[in-house]
Amino acid sequence: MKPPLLEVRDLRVRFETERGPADVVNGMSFTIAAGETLALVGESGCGKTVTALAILRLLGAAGRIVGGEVRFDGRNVLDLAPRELRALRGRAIGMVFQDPVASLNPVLSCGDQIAEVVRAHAACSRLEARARALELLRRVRLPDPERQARAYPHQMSGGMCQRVGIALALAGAPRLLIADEPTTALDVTVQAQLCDLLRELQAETGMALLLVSHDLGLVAGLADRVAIAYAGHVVESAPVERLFAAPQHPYTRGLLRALPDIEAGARPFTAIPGSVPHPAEVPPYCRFQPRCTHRIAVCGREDPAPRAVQPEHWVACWVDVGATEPWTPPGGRA
Amino acid sequence: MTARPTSKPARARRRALRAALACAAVGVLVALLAPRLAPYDPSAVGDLVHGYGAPSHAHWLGTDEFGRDVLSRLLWGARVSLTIGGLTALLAGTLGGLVGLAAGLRPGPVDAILMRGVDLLSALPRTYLVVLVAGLLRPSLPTLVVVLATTGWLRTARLVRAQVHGVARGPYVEAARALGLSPWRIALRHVLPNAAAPLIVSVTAMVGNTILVESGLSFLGLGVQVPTPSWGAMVQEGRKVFPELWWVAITPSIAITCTVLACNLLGDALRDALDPRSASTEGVS
Amino acid sequence: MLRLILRRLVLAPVLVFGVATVVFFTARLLPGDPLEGLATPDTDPQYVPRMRHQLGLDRPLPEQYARWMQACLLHGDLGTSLIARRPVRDLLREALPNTLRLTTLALALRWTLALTLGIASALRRGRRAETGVRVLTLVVDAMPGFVLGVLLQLLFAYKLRWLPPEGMASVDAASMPALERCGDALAHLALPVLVLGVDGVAVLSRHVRASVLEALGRDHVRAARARGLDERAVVWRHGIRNGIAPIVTLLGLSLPGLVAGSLLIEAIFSWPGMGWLTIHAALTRDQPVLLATTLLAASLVVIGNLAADVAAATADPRTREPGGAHP
Repeated sequence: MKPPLLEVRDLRVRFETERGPADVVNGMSFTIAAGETLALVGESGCGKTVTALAILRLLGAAGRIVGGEVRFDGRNVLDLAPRELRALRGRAIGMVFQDPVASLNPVLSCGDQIAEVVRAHAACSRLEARARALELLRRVRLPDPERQARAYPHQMSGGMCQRVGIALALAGAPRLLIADEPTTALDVTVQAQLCDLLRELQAETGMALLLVSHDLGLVAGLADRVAIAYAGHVVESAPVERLFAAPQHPYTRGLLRALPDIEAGARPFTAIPGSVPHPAEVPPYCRFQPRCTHRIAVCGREDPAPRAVQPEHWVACWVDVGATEPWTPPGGRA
Repeated sequence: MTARPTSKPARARRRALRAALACAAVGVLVALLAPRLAPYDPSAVGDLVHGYGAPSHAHWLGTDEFGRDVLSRLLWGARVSLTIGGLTALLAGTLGGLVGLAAGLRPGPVDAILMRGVDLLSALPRTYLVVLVAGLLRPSLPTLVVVLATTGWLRTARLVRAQVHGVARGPYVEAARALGLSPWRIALRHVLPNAAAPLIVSVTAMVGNTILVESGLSFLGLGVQVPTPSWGAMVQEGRKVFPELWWVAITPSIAITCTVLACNLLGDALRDALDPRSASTEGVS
Repeated sequence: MLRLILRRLVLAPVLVFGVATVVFFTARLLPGDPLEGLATPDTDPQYVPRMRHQLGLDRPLPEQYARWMQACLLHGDLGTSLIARRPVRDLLREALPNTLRLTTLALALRWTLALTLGIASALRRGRRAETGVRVLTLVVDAMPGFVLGVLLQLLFAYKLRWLPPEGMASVDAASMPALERCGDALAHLALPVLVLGVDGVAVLSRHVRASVLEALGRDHVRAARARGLDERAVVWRHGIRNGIAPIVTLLGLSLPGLVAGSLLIEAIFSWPGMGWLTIHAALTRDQPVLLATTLLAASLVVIGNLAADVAAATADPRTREPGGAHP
């Protein structure tokens, strides 16, 4: 089997909070193969954005990586020297951020910003960089690229800014693109357009995609595999159709049931009772146990390790939920 | 379980506030009790031939070239400066607060007129205006206070207006209005307390600022007039006898600096205490 | 952006007009006789009434106002000094360049220091750096400009005798060779410029530091880092440059402070500029001169604010449009 392009193993990221040190990312593990799209899904606070930032060591002063490995092409990113890290950023791994307008420098034109990144990754003249910038803008399907190149971020809509953000991420021809909630700040129609764009770009470049999101609809449209994160680690991972067809972990089931369904007519929302534990107060046993309707005695004593329910389908749960309660997709949708 | 904000920065802030308030209290006491505390009459001229001298047992801070006790003059000067500073700050604060409140609460033409007026008056350099008036008037203490107050309220007005403007459009005021509360009640119970914080900070800072301007004026001979002792005037007198009687110039300089410093620190501490958002925050993003 | 500058340019004369009005009425409405200090025991008793008539001070106030405004703003005639018996315009023409020499150098010094200190302390993050800078700036902040000026003058000019205590040039400067004359001028400039420039550095450097720190924490800085840009480029081109942009507005705003601050500095160092002229006029009750200098100082403030707006628009493209976001 081919070695994975990106392998995150038991990653731990610590923040200092008012209640003491908190491992917001607490044993996060997943892999992405070349060309594959993995969706990292979970509620706010489950550590998915922090994980994405940790992969490129962009956490700054707030968070510290205190354990685990992040292997890209076999090399541990956490051990890289600054110069090697810089070679990785933008060139091997690109990143697209959640707030499209805020991730662009407001006092520089879009064209200037893209040209700057182009020149950072390949020695070329200003003219060549400019040409390449226009080419990238065309690639992300921006109408009238010359005009957009001269424009400033505050003159463009959120969707257009995000396309520029994608263009910037592609400038170094990366093999992995990390998209951290790329459509959360945008309208639904723009979401669909960006979803299509990402799919097309992937087909063109063959790059892998790590999609961090809480939007299961977006995930269904883009992902090959899905990893569900809860309280700092992955509780279930499976190919996308399998996850929607036969979810095993009680949390996954709760998430899917909580999706409002337009076809199902009026029915009360089923929320998962309780709330996510504060990262500083994560228990040493199964973190979902207090909210779980399937819990048994061992759930309150030990943290379950992931086990394979089927090839490629892993669940971290003591209970064989699939056996006790067959899954009926809500509203009859598959 | 809720965590109480007893984090280190919060405790440090509270300590700073207590210290600053203590200093302020000392200052006010000195100002009030100067006549009692001063060992000598500040205007009493001593033995002109042998009466002046360096700090000694009899005169803790020495005497000037007229034999007047520096310490007594310093204490009386404190009384003068702090009185002027305090009264000016109160007057200017009231004026600025009212204008700011009016402008912030009644948007539209009232706001526009008031703020254009403030802009116009802001174009006048305060020092020049004060010198202009002081030069033409030779003011007494009350007139000085009026002059300083009428030139110093502009910044406060702007600050208060900005705060009131923001608060009046805030969600809880909207909610209050939706609940049917009368505009007066809203203004008094909801808008004013939240707009009070920058007003208080501004007034405190104004005390220090006024003392600065006043001592500058007295230094030039345009402020507090001769029989009344004033720090600025003392500095001017001290220049003439430097370096032989160096303490005559140095002591009031230190006094002015320390007082203004204390006012600034008090203003900072108040701001940190009243508006926790302005203090630096650490923690989980 | 052109629209913005045009709008401000049109507004500026209106502002000056308004300012002149306020100044005039402030002076005239004050109790007291403007010609009070004019008569000495041995002057001709007819002199004062004659002067009063000549200066138009016996006319009704609105008429005085109209005549003064017309003379000032249309003809540039700022009246005649009561004491020096010379046209005020001439006095100002001699004094203003000296003040400008002082204030422009002081402005340059202040900004260089503030930017250097501010950026350095922002880059060298850490509680100790922050506290250290804060303490130093607090103390220097509190010391009034004139106190600092007096103390430095006492120390360097009277005690140590390293620098000349006052004036713009030595008495025998005219007879010095060019190079020596230059050195002499610089020696005389040193203390006043230093005092005027340093006053306010503390606050300014704190603003710079805060703005730079805030800019360095913004999303697009992290995004630039993620795109593989050189750390230096990230910090300077994407961080500090954005942090400086809002500070540039303060540049123009510090002009009025300088104009006002130079008043006292000129008094301490007997620098023959506008401030010294004003104080002398205040002490001798020379109303025409006082009015003129105040008006001129206010005009400089208006110009300074205009310059600030232009600088802000240049630095941050968002403020160029009328509906643009304000930083």
